[in-house]
Amino acid sequence: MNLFQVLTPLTYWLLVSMWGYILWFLIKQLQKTDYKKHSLSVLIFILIIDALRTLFESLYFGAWFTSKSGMIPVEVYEVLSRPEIVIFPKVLNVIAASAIIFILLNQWFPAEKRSRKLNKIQAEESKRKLIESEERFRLIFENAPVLINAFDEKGKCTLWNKHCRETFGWTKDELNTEVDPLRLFYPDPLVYNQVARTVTSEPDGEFQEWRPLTKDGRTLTTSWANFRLPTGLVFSLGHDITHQKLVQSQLQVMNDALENSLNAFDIVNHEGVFTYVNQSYVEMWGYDSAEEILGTSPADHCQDPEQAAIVIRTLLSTGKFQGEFTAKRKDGSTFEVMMYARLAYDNEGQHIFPTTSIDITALKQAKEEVIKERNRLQFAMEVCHTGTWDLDLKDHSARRTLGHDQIFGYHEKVPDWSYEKFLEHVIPEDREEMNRRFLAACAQKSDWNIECRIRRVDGEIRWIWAVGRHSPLINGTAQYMVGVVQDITERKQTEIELQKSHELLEVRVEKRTSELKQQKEEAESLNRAMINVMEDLKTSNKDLEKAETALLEINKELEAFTYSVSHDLRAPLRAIMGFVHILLEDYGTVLDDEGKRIGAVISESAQNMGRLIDDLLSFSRIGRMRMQSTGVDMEELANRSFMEITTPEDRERITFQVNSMPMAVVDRELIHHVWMNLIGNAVKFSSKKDQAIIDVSAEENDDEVIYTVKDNGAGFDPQFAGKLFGVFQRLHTKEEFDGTGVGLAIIQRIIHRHGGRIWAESAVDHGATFHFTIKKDTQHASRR
Amino acid sequence: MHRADKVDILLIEDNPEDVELILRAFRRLNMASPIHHIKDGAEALDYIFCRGDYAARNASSKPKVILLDLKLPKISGLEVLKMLKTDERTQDIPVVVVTSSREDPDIQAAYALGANSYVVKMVDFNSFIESMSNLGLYWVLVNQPPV
Repeated sequence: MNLFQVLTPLTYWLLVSMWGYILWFLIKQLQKTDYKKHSLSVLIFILIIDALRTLFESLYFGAWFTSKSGMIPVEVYEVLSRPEIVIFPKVLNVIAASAIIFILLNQWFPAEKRSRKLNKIQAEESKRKLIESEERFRLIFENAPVLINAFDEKGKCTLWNKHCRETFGWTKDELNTEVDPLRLFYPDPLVYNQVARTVTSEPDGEFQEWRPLTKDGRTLTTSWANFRLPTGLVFSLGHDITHQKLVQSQLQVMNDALENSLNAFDIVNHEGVFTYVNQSYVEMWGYDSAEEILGTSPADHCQDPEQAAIVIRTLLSTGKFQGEFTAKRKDGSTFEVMMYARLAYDNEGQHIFPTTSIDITALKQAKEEVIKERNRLQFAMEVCHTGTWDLDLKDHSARRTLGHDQIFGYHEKVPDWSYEKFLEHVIPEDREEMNRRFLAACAQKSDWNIECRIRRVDGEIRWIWAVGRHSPLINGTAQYMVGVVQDITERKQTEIELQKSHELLEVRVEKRTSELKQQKEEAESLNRAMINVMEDLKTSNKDLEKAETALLEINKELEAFTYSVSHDLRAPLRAIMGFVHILLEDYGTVLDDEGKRIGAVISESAQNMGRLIDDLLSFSRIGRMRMQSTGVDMEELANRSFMEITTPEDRERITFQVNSMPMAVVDRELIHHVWMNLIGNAVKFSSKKDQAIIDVSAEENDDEVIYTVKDNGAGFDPQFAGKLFGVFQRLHTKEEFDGTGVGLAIIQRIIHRHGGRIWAESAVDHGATFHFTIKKDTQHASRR
Repeated sequence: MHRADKVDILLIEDNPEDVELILRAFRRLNMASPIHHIKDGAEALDYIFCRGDYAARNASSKPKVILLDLKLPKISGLEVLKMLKTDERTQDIPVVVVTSSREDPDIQAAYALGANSYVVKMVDFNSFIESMSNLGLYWVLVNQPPV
């Protein structure tokens, strides 16, 4: 059998399986859009191969059919249908299918095909990346500006980055010890334990503050948080907040200082409203709290509302403001402030105006006072031709006022002046003494007080007076001497002239003395004549003295009499009254009515006598009493007297009128007595009238005031008017009007003691009018 | 015991009428207090300092109050007062000065010498009785002498 008889069918079956596979694969790939384009080119290639195959097979089948029909010899067909010819296109076909399968497999299964090679490349790549990552981590770990520690699973600190080492000041070697380096950072075991515990037990990522020590012993404030790896390794990240804390506390201190500053401080923002005010500001402007002010405009805080705008304009144009103005408090009151503000920017770049203010009201007043005082002093010094100076005791240079230099004849201030220059002005005769006193004053630290002559710059010689005083001692030495200098030429000249006239006077006196001597002799003879006259006078003086003594004796006797009246006359009276009373009490049962009546009469008479004695006593007392004059409201006193005397029933009956009366300078108690008596008399003597009228008035003339009490009562017979003021003188019977007859005598005595007069006028039943006068002159009060 | 030992009120007064009136005033008050009456300043001093007629008197027994008239024969009331108030033994006995008038200048002098009070012998009988009763009530019954 022919080889191709076997080979050819095999090739056919091979082709069937290959193309089957290709078709299946293509269909599958065509469903994936990504490979469409590629699949098309494969299809085209297949079509080309197929066209080639079809050409051969058509050739084969054409030849077969053509030979069958006899158009070509059967031998051609037989040649063509021989297996070795038939196989040729099939081989081509196999080659094409293989190529396609190769391409397809190569194209769509590269990973599988290349996987081994690829794995190798990838492993190399990963390794490189890991190294890189590690290096990156190491760099970050080592160089990060953060404190980083790593702890092993037992909690021992095993790694420290550079920042950590630098911050704590330890080297790598020093930290690489058996001992946990954490103990170096926290030498206090208690603290160490706390820290170590947080490393093993605290949750991740929570920052805690610790205060570790550096190698050189400083304590830092740090903040740490722990992060754990699944392996048990712990990273601790921290940062040094010592500086931040310091800045914070400094900021707090500064903030407190600002808030509690005695100066007012505020910040106004670019919108022109307050964003900050400190406590002093609130107090200075009289507000209750800062909240009241924040957000408001500073315009309301100035007396002139424009002032705030002026300040802000100045700030915007020059960058700062310094000035004084009148500020307005919440309650509207004003005060003077000095303000300093400057332009600044907030963190958004907007203008802000931080401002400091001081209340200078008191300062301003004090300043004005000082200026006034200085002007006054300057004026005083100008008027007195006085200058002041202060002398530096080290270099003898001196500061002076213009007045000082003018005394030395300069019209303007000399550029420099010294003690030596002063000495040059002193005339040579006085110079040595002057200097001696200056040195003595310096040595004793005492005042320097001299009078000397100077030669002015224009040659004129003047007298000056200079006084200097040492400054308070510092370390036992005075630094300077302050003093005044005055031109006393005029005074000195007057003194000298006075001395001259004194001498002249002495000469004159001497001359005059001799003249007088002569006159004296003449006078002596005259004197002798005078002495005789004097002796006569002396005798009469003695008589006068005698009379005075007699008067005093009489007065004494009068006193004794008064005393006797008050005591000795009372005793029997008391006995009479007492025993009549006892009689009536004890023997009332044995006495008949007439007996009892007589007893009552005796008792009443005795009582009457007692009153007489009392009145007489007060009459005598008024003569002796010492008077105390004060300003007395006579109108008030008259009204008061009326009220004291009368009962409400009396007042219904009586129309009492007091016209306006001037004040008087009198003894209040005594004049009260006068009003009581006169008004009392008017009430008493008008008691029988249904409509009594009492009129009190006063009339002023040049030197006295005449007071009048007028009534419409019983009156009296004018022919007895003179007797009215006598002691025990009565113009009415006791039955008509009660009284002892001493009252008017007493008030006459009072009025006389005040230097006044008293008189009365009346007609029977036509009322009585009493007048008395009080001198206007307060010196009238004579003592009798 | 001397008859003048148990004495509450010592009355030194020369005017017999006044004495009678005063005694009557006390009687009206129904006071059981023994009263001793002395007529002049000399006798008063004898009594007080246990001399003369009163030599046998117990000096430690003191009256509760002495009523002293200033106008006395022989030795004046002021002198008696002075001796009473300057002697340690007797200076604590209250002395009430009895006088005729409020105007009496001797009242000032009596106070200066240490008198404890004064009472005016009123002319009016009822007033007289009242003032004397008040005096007796206060000094004998109310006042507590220093121990």
